[in-house]
Amino acid sequence: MKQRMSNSSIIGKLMILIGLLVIAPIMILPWYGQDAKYIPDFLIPGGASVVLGFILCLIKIRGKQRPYPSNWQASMGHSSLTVLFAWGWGVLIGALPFVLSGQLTFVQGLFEAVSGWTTTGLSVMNVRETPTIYLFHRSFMQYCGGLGFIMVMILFISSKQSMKLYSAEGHPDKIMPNIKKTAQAIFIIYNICLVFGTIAYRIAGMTWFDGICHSMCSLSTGGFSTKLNSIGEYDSLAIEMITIVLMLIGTTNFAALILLAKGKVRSFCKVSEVRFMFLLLVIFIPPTALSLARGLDISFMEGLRKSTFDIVSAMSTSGYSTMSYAEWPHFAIGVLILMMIIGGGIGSTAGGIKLSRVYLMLRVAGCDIKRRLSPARNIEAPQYVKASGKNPIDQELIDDTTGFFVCYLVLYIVGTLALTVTADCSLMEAMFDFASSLSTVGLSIGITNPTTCAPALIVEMIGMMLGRLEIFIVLIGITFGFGMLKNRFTKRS
Amino acid sequence: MNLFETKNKDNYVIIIGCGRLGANLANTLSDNDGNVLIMDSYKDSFRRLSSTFGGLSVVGNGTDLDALNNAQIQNASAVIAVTNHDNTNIMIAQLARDMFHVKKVIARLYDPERESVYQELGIDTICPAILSAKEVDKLLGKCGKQVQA
Repeated sequence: MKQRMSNSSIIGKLMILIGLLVIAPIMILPWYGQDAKYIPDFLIPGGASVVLGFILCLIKIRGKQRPYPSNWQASMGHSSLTVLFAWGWGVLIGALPFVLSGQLTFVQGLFEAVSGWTTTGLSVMNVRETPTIYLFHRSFMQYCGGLGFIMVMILFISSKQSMKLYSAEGHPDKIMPNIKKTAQAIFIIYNICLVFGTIAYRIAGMTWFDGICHSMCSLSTGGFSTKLNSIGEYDSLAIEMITIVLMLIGTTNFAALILLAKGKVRSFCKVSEVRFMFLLLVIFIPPTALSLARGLDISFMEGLRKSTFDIVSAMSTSGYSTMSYAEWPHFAIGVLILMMIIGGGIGSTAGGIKLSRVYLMLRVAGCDIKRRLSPARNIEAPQYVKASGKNPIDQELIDDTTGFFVCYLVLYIVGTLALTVTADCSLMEAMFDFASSLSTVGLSIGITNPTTCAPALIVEMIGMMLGRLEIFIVLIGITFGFGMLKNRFTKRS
Repeated sequence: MNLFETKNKDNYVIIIGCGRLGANLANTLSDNDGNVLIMDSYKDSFRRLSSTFGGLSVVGNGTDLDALNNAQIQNASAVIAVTNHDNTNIMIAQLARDMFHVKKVIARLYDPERESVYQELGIDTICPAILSAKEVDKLLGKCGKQVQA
């Protein structure tokens, strides 16, 4: 059976997996029996996906195995397309429960699902009136989305293509000498954190259900809350502290977390990304606290508490908030936008440009200035520290980073302008909300709410997808897809 | 080919030298769900690994004790030394066997005349030159038989 499974089509397997994940929220029914009437809304799309997946697997086994493209470029395109398909399908199936129960329109449902799987946390639902099972569905989507579909699939079945798909989904690190073990190690750490997070929340005064939902969403740096005012609803310092810790864990590179779990604190502290993260926090929190204290007329300590929470929330791309941003001074808003764009750690559940890319760009800029000031024959060999060890900063790395950086900024500008038109808002509001979508953060200054019009939601949806899948995979996948279609048509005619 | 079939969980193979042989070996082992770490002193060598390779690739010198320690050589069930230097291979094999007590140590050597050194040390060797010679001999033998028949 296992052998058969590994030979059958990956797309079929992904469809089965996604179906099961969508059915999963039914688990909570024993505790929340009043939501039993919503079972069909989950079973129909989930079941359909599982059945379709099985059929695909069977067809592939019966039919001749198509040889996997051996040439490098085609195989890269193939895996990107598969990843793209998995996410598209996940969004569709994840959206259907909302749509079938009539709570959201189709576009709103899609938006909610994209926001869930991409771990963004922007929401168009009114949480007060939403049944519990849907709240769990949203949180569970974020929890799985944080790992990514391919990672979840590799946990159960690995095949020859899994490595390609794994790197295509944007996981740069190999931690164990075996791809399946890498996925398992990450999964175990993720779950241990979930258990501890939930217990901590419970001690701090949440109900079990809220505790699970909140720790799932803060670990995956998602940010869906079961309360209208997010974490601000509780107004408790303890809960805020727990959330900050969980968000920081979520935004740290998995490989670095494993270092920490093994007790190698010293090598953990040496990782450039981790250092850079704490440096950014130290630099930006005090001025923001001052600005908040002056702008909102509160004490400095109060400002410090708010600025710490919100800056960590923005940088880790979680998007929990403690208050509305409408009154915030422009300086603080600007810092938040900057933090959102920088984003979290590479190879974590976070989004954004990623700390290590920003760090590399700054290092490159620094080296350039230094080179101009030093004698012509001076040679430098810059290095930076990853969780796996020291790495030289070579031209290839610089090219990759610059390419991503520029693409990201261009997308950001285009998206912001598109949002000002579609949502009919000021430039600053658009900048804030589009940074929030593109970096999969989920903070909103107020233009994303249940009354937002469809075009604006679509712009944000595109931003979230591109942000989560790191732009290039989407581009490669689409180009390859078009190429395949073109080939098929030209052959027929 | 016992190595490729066993799916023992503790089966952790370290390959040193990512040349054609090393890379091929790593790819095959990794495709069969093995735990593989491959080490080479040049980053560029890793281009030989296929994109399905799911193991670790580490830049480092195989004769460097720190590098070997970082690769957790003491947990390895097998070490395969396939760099392009016979002397390096000998040294790595000796390090692996005597200092880290790895059970299975295999080395590749180019020069058949050096085989005696390995035999004295008790290290399994593979010598492409001798293997090729045997193969050619076999083919020649077949030819001879065909001619006689």
